Amino acid sequence: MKSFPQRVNKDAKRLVWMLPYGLVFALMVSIPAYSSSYITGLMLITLMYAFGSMSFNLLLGYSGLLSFGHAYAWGLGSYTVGMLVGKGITDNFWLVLGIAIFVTGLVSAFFGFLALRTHGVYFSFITLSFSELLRSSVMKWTKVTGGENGLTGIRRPFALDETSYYYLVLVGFVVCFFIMKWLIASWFGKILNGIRENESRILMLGYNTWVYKYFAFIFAGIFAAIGGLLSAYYYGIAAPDHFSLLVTGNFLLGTLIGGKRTLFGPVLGTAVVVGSNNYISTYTEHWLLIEGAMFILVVTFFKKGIFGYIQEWWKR
Amino acid sequence: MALIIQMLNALSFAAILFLLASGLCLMLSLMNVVNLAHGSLYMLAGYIGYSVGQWADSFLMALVTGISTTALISFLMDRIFFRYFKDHLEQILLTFGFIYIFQDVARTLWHGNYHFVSAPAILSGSIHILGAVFPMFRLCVIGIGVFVALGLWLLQEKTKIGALIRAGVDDSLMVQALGVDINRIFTLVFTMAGALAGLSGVLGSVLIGAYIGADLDILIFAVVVIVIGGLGTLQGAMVGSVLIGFAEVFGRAFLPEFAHFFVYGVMAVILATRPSGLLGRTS
Amino acid sequence: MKNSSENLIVLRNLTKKFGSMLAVNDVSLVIEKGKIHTIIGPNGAGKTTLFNLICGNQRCTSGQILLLGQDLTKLPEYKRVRMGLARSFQINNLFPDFTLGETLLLTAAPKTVGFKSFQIAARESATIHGLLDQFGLADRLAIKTKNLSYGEQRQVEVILGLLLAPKVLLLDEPTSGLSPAETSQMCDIIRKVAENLTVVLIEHDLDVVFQLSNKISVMNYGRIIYEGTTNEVRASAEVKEAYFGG
Repeated sequence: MKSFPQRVNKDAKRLVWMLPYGLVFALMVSIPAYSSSYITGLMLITLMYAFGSMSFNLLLGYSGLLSFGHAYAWGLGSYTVGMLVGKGITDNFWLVLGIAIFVTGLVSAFFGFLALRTHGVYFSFITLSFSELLRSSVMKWTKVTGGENGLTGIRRPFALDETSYYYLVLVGFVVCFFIMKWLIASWFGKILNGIRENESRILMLGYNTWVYKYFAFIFAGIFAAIGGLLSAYYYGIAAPDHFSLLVTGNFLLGTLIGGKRTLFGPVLGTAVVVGSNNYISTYTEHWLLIEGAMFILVVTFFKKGIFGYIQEWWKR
Repeated sequence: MALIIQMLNALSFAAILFLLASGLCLMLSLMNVVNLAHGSLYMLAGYIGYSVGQWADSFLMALVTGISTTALISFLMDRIFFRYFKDHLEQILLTFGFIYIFQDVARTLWHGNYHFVSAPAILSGSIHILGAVFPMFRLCVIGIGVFVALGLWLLQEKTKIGALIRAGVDDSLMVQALGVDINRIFTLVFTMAGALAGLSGVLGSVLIGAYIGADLDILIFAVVVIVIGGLGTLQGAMVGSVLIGFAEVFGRAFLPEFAHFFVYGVMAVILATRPSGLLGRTS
Repeated sequence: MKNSSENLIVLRNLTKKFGSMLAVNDVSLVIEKGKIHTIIGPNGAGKTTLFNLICGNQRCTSGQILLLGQDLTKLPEYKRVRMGLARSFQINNLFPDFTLGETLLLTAAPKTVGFKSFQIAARESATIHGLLDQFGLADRLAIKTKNLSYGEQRQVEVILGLLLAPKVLLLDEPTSGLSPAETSQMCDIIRKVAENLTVVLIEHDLDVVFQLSNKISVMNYGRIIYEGTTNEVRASAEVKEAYFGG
């Protein structure tokens, strides 16, 4: 008779699951070689925003926390680049990355502590007030943060051109993707899942759920900040808009369209959002209207997301 | 003297906030509905109030049009959407979508310009009491705020409708079994909340103006009011509005560079010490 | 007054108010070590609320809760669990999308934060197997909780409590909704379990109550109206009135 952990562990299936990842990775690596720079650009933007969506889903899909203010971390990453590189303080990519992670970690620890004092809708509201706090602060603090116009003068790290920058982002994405995968599969991730499924039960099993949610919040913040950092390097600007609710809205929509029960879902969903945004914006100015309609359509007809429906179909 | 002016500003801002926050709070605590687009109603009412006010040269027309429009929108949102979407997450996503749509509408029709509604001529002066000068309009706004606060409190605590609403949230099946059409009552509350948002929007646009982003700005304030005042209690919204009104106005007076810092500071302190808000209930 | 080292749980003047309604009204109770202590009473008497207060799911308005002499009153629920309290819920409160195996692992694992892989030691594995065999659930490990039968879910509620190796196990209507055969099986298990730890029971099925209990407390309108052994309670006029009277 197999021992208990063996019967529960799904290790044997791991090799089977590696295959799709391998294929997707090969595909993404070869994109610059076979497609136009337009497509490469879209993929790049998708990958950057995926940092935001995946981390957003770490909170929503895996921990049951809906954070409206997730853009706070995106903006922090972006402004770290703006203040260090845009102002000419340093050119060292790794130093900037390190500082972004450190600063975001601290701010997340502070925000998370306060936000997690509340539950449900109020948690969502409080996190929104955090991103808005940062947004209005950077808008007013013109001397330091460039005010409404933000910070510019940001050169790409290692003076990379667009294609090489794509590879940098791709590598970063893959690394973070697997870190998150490991996190979710770990003990820590399982408990987060339990908290999402039934927090009161988890408490009655003796777990201090607050600690888990707190760390999830901090990790999610750090991952989103990396995305914001990469986007500031790409676009060459850090602006107050980076803290806006509309940024968080993109993460949310991407997560929903792709499916919040899987790690890759938000990535796919983000691709859809980025693609639609680019495509539709060439025909009309009313992208906001379309995106709003997408929200409503998704919640009415398409709640499980792409991967959600795939999973259901797989089980038949 | 300047102190009194600032206090009036704080109180009138508090009144505007309360008118908006009360609707949000009613929907949340009484009907368990999350409506993020409530701030959008404020913005729309402000813009509509401006346009109608300009066209008809009448503040009254502006007010009436603004309020009826938002009340109608609320009515439709309840009938078409909230009746079927009872889950919080669904409501959040839905109203998120509405925020985008309303923003697009505002951008298209008013091009994102900053507009103010003109106060009515009879109220644009000041009155002198005991040697101090009080702008009439602000006094009126404060008066309206107090009037509405009293009315809502009476409705919630003292009337049959209020009791029915509270009962309906807890046990809608039971209430329906008693022969009450709970859906009709919910629609009524919704429409009323929408009307209040419209009132807040038109009045607010006289003082603060209407602009793209006002929807989110005022929503944030309303949210902070509800959270610190006491999760979901009307009295909490009243206290919260006054507190935030003062925090914002006096904060702006002393430290204009750190926008809203006092507001967030108050929120942080209260969250850290009393997470369920000043008047909230802990279970 | 009995020697306090024999008292596992002591409740002193425990009160819970919801607005002006007194769900639990000045309850003082002693649960003795090693006994099966049952709480009975008509619907709405406040029994589940009492459990909620003891376990920390709700905060009491006033009063004191002691576990082996230690004051639990201000502690959050997860700390009380770590001190040896465990409970099952009246309405199945499990993880719909988790398999039985995953649920058990989560329960049996050490409760400190860590990033270790989702595995547990072999020793605990044997305990789990033993319990599963007792309940006849050994082959249901890979089934998701939402796909288990109602009776099986009820059993899982109890198993989770047992797995926590508590000093005292609070079971809230463990036999509700079970067939007679399942009820009888549950009683056997409770009796066996009570050999090693203290059990506090809320039950409606009076047969079960009279079979198992060493001591019975009767609640009505938030108060304890009577306390005694099975025979005493059976004969009591007050109890009859509370259940059947006007």
